[in-house]
Amino acid sequence: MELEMKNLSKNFGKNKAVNCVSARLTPGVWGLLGANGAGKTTMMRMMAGILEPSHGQVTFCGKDIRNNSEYRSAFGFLPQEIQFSKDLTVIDYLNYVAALKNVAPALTKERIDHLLSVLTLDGVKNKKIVKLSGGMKRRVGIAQAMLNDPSVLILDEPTTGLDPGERIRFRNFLSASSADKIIILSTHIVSDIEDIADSVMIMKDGELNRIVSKAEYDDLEKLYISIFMEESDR
Amino acid sequence: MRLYAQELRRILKSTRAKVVILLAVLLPILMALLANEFNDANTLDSDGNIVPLHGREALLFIKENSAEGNGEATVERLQDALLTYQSLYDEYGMDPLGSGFPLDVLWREVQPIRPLLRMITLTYSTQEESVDLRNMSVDTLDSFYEDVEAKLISVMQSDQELRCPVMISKAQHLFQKVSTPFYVSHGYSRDAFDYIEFAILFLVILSVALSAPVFSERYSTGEDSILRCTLYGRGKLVRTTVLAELTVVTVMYFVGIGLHLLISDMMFGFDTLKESVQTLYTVYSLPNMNLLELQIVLALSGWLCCMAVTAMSLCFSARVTETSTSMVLSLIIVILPTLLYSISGGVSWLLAFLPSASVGLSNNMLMSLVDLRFLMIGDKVIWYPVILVCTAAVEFFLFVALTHLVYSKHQVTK
Repeated sequence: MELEMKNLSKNFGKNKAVNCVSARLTPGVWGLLGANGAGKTTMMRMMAGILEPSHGQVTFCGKDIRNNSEYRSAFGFLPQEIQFSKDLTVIDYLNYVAALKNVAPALTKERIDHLLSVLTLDGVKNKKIVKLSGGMKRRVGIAQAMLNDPSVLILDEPTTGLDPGERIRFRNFLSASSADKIIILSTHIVSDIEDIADSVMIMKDGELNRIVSKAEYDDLEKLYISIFMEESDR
Repeated sequence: MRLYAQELRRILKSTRAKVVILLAVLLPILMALLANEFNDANTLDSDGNIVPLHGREALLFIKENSAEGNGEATVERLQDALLTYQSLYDEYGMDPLGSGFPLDVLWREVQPIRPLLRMITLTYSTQEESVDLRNMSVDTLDSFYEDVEAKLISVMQSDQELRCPVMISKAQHLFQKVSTPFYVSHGYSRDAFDYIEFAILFLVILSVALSAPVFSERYSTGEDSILRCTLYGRGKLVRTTVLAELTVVTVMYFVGIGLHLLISDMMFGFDTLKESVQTLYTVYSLPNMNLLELQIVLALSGWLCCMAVTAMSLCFSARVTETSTSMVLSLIIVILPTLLYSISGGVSWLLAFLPSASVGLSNNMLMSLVDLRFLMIGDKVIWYPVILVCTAAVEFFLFVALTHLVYSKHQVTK
């Protein structure tokens, strides 16, 4: 299984949000690190197939992800900012997304119960999502992304709004479910990924500055800062 | 089917849908009750004092005193009515249809023949002067139904927009299909039919309120990003959402209009629905229908319009990311035909091509049926109500297809 970005670019008018990014992702946890405005979200949207690239393409197992039902069956996505439908309960919403993901009806309850339990949402499953705290909403977002047990999981700033305890639980949950999956975690907080990412892609000004594996760095934060200092030194 | 059920559940659980559906039930009921409030009659008590009656009480009184006149408006009955009028005129020395005529005689003798006298007056009066019923020969009425057709032609010839020979020929052709003799069944009021159109207009506005925010709300909340990248998040989702919205709007519409008609018909009496359109409206009206058939046509054409407007709202919703923009655009289209009609004072192809062309005040389907309205395409003439139905059907499919296209091509940029 392989997810590949080939010369991926996205322009918004004259602004190059993502510029000629190429990378080949294999199973494992991938961190996507970059400052706000570095182009992470734009790149993730293109990888999710919800934003058309200006140039280049994204392929999954060699096939373009556009109109690729195999990819969409195997895909889970948590965008950076979402507000849920204000009238749905947690369980209603997850059932709705399960239908959209074509999770078998017999399996749906089992998957939902499992995710509610792991993400400690059991007690609020019949509550309207809008009435939940920011952290709980984020966990509902994670649950919907995981519903179809995706082979490719893209999480854009997944830990936003989570308290320190929840961040740890989330990291553990992700580590436990990462086998044979391509998981891409976008963040601007180094500590969110340094322990669990097998490799880290560092983005700067719309470009992929470098890809480093866990073995290649001792202190990710130090490396990240040095990359951003390069700019100011120049 | 599973996704459709989920989509229906999602719509019905929303507060917006609950409020809209509640209004769609209550408003038509309220309008049906209001329509009954327009009945007024004066009667005399045992001491000879005038007692004003209002609402249902007046309606029952009018119906009771008109019952004798119900039935087919044959030439013989029209002639009898004219003779009765003339003898009452001679006996009391005043116009039985004018003010000051003794109330007890009016209700007993004139009320049952009033619709017949109205038909005679409409047929034989000219633009310049009203027919003199007192001196009219009953033999004139031997050719009453031929004279109605002649009246139709003369009305069209005197109208600048209708005097075209092919239009007159088309109108004649339609009128020749109208069943004669007309049927009189006194009771139903034109106000009540206006209220049917008001109810349809409100239901169309409520459909907009339900459907205009659907996709734009998903865009503005960011929820679209999640739904769009699921397996069924594009083509199937948009088709299912559209189908579920149309289902809810259809059920809401038929419940609303059904309750309105049921209450209205119960109050006026189901027997009154046998009346010909020509006896309630203009004697040379073109629909070959009784009032029940007219109600069915209004309800069905209203539904078709509702579908076209809902599809249009969904299309706007799929295009814009702001809920309020989609709502405002849709509502403008709903009221535009009324504005255009009141500015231009007539029908046009521009008006006909608006999805909401058959709802509104003077431009609605009822007025299009009972008035003489035609449009030309080349040298062909088409009856305006037929155009309204056809354009609504075409636009429904067009907007559904556009919604599908626009939603599928939407890019998540915010």
